Amino acid sequence: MIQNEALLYKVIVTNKDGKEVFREAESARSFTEQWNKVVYAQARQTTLSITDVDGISRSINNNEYNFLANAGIGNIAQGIRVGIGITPVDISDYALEAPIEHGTGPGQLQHQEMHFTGSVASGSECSFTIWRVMFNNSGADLVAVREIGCHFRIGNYYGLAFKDVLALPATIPYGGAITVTYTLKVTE
Amino acid sequence: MQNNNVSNGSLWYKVMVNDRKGEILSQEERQSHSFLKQWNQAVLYRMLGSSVGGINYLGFWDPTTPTFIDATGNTGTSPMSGDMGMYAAADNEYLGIVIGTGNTLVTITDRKLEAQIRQGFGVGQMDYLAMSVTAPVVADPSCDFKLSRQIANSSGALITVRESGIYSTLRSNWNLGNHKDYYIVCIIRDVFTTPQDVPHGGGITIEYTLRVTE
Repeated sequence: MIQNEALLYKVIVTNKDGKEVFREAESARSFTEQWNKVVYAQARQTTLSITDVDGISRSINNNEYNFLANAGIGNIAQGIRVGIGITPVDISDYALEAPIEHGTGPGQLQHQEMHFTGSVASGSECSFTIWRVMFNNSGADLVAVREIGCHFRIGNYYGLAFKDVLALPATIPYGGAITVTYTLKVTE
Repeated sequence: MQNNNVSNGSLWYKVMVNDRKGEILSQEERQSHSFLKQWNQAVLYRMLGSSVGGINYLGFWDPTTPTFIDATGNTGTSPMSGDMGMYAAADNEYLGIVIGTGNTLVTITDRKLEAQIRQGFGVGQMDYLAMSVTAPVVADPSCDFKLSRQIANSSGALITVRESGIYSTLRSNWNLGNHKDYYIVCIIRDVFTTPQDVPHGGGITIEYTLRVTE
C-alpha cells in the first residue's frame, strides 16, 4: 500500500553523560480518529463532536487553534508526550493510557519546549519533523516507558493526534533524557 | 530499522462516468498518488501555530462577491479558522474537487492541475455541481471521510478527463479590497490510469476518501 501521508517516529534515550542507551525508529501506528475528524471540521468548515483527552465529547468547529501542538517548557496539555501504558493502539484511542506528568517528582519528566523543522520537498516526498526532549530529574531511573504520542488543540480543548506503543520498553536513567521525534511525510 | 510498510494516512479516489441516462460507462478506483507539498505545509503551520513561508498558491477567492483572482505566487501564512476548506458550492471551479485534461505525471511540488476544465456550458467546459463532504465514519481499524463532486458535460461534445485534484483555502488575505479573500492552494492531484471520456449529456463523479488507520 502506498503511504500517502506517513507518520514515522524515532525515540532516543541518553544517560546523564549524553551517551545513547536506547533507540527505536519505526513507522508510527496511528493517526487517531480525532485527527481525521479535525481535518473534516476544517474541510467542511463545520462542527462535529470530538472526544478530548479526558474522554469528554466536545463540539468542535473549524477553528484557528485546531491542530496546534506547539508547547513551551512544562506545557503538557499540548505537544509530544510519553507514558507507561502498553495496550496496543486502537483507532478510537483518545489519550495515552498512562501518561507521565511534568516535574521532578517520582515518575515524572521535565518536558522541554516543542521543536519543528520546516516542510522540505526532496524527490517524491515532502516532510517536516517535530520533536521534544524530556529530562529525568526525578531521583531514580524511570523504567518501562512504552507509549508515545502527541496532544493537539481541538478548539478550546485538547485531543490526541497520534499515539504509538514502542516495541520494547525504554528506561530513562536518572539524569538522562528521552527525545521523541515524529516525521510527517507526504509522498507523490 | 525503519518499517515503511504501514499506512497511517491514505488517500483513495473513485471516478465514475455516466451517460445522459445515468448508465455507468467507465470507472476507476485506486489509491491516490498525492497529497502535495502544500498540504504538508498547511499541516505544519497549523501544528506550529505560526507563519510558514513559501506556500505556493494559484489565486485568491472572495466568497462574498464571488470572484477569483488568478495569481500564482507563494506566501507565508499562519492559522485561521477558514484554513483547509474544501467544500465548494455549485459553479465554483476554484475550490474543492476539480478536474482537467492534463496528463503530466504528478510531482510533489505541483501547484495546480495542468489543464483544468473550466465551469460552463461552452466548448471544453463542464458544469461543477456542489460538493458533498460526508462526516467521518469509524470502522476499526480506520476512520474515513469522503469528498465527492458531480460534474456534468453540457458542452455539446465529448470531453476526456485525465486529471483530478482538490483545491483548498488558506488564510484570508485582508489586503485585497478590504474583504475576506482566501488563498487557494492545490493540496491533492492525480492523473488517472485510464483517461475518462465523458459524453455530452453525461457526467463524471469524483470521490476522494481520506483515511487514517491505526
